[in-house]
Amino acid sequence: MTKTVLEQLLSAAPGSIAPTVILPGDPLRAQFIAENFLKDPRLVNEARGMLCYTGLYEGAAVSVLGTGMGTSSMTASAVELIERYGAKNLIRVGTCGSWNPQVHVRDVILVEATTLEGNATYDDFGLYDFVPTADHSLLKCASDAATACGIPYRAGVVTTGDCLHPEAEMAQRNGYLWQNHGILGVEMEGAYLYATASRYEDVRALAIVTCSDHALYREEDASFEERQKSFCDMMRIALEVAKAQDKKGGCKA
Amino acid sequence: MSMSLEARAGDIAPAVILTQDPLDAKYIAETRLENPVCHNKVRNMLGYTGLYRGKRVSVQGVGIGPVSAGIYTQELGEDYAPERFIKIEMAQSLRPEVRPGDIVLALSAHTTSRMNRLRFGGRVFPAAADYGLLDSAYELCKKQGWPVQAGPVVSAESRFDLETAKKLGHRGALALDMETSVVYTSAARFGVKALSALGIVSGAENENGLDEEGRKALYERLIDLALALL
Repeated sequence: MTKTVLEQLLSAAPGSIAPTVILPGDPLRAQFIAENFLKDPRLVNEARGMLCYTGLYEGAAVSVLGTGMGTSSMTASAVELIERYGAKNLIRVGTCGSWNPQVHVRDVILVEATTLEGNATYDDFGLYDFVPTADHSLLKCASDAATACGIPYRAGVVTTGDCLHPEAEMAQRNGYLWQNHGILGVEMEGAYLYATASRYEDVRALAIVTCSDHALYREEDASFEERQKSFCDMMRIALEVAKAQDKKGGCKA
Repeated sequence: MSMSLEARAGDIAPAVILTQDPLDAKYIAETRLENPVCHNKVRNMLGYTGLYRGKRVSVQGVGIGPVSAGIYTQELGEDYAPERFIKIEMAQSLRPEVRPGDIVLALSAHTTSRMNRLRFGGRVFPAAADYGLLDSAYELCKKQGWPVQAGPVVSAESRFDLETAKKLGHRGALALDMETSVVYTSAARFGVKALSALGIVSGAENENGLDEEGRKALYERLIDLALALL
């Protein structure tokens, strides 16, 4: 309670976080992943309620941290993991909404690239377009793993938005972007994970999201419990990617 | 027929290979396609349509930069029902591990053009490849033993953007071109699958360039790749 974000975010001991970290936005989803997917999970951080666990997935060391929502939460988490804990592979797992008629609730989306509407790259690139982009090796590892596991997926682009509750007319303007230019859904952290990871030479990042709410298919909305528990396909892909990174030589999926 | 293309609807195939130089479009058509027909001579931006192993394919020059390529890709999208765009071009590397002779598959494209900021209310639009096409191309190159990498590229408007492009190289951009961003944007607008493949001819500081023979061989390889993705 006495440290600012810039001074210290997490209280995990040095070395207690694995080089590959899975990043749900919700700390309770981090707990769910740890308790249901990891062997010998240890709670290594409780500071700020950002639960972080380290354990084994099929022999591979992996950590899971609940980042919180939005650009600042994601950027602070990513920077701390990279600079204080030596993280090399950051894999976001999250939910998204959608307006795209081709997307349905529970669709798994591997995020190739995202929009950017915030100022995260303004100092460096001003009004030029920096497109936040996935690391191809992690993306390929994920698509191969999904195929090997028989999990259907889409690979495409999403919008990273800053405003979850816009005014009605703003939402209508956003709808044009999604419906007319192939954007699969909207979430709130992907761009900032990709932009932050790109600042470090040896750090790779990938975001995977599942659609939990759909503006057109309201009857498909997932309940709170379903959102927490039933996105296991996405978690499975992320963990397979994590397992592959733990082996020497990277992805073999 | 559109403002810049005199072809009638149906004269242009659903699969279109795009390239800056209309004389390259002519070369590809005349050396690789059966019965190539020139479907456009307007503004000397030559385009041809013919058959490759029984499949209809077009090859269209798009000119230099996002404005010109934006015009051609938008008109193709609006009037000619394209299904895929394969853009091939020679390019300069932006990173030390991207070597002359490599093929770079553009996963996405940064850009110094303001077109998308104006189009999308100040937002950055994610100009990105069709992942299925990119993965097919990647697997094909691996199978052939061709050195290949995939990642973001920079689509610059002019040589005056070179310093910015190099800075983007420090942030992971693999190579420099001029049209990938707008090709991907038009493709997204019209639901066209798109992939841009760049043949690297020189290093990040424009050093260690391929000689003429090396460039010719790399270009033929790029054409082979494009034709394999129809």
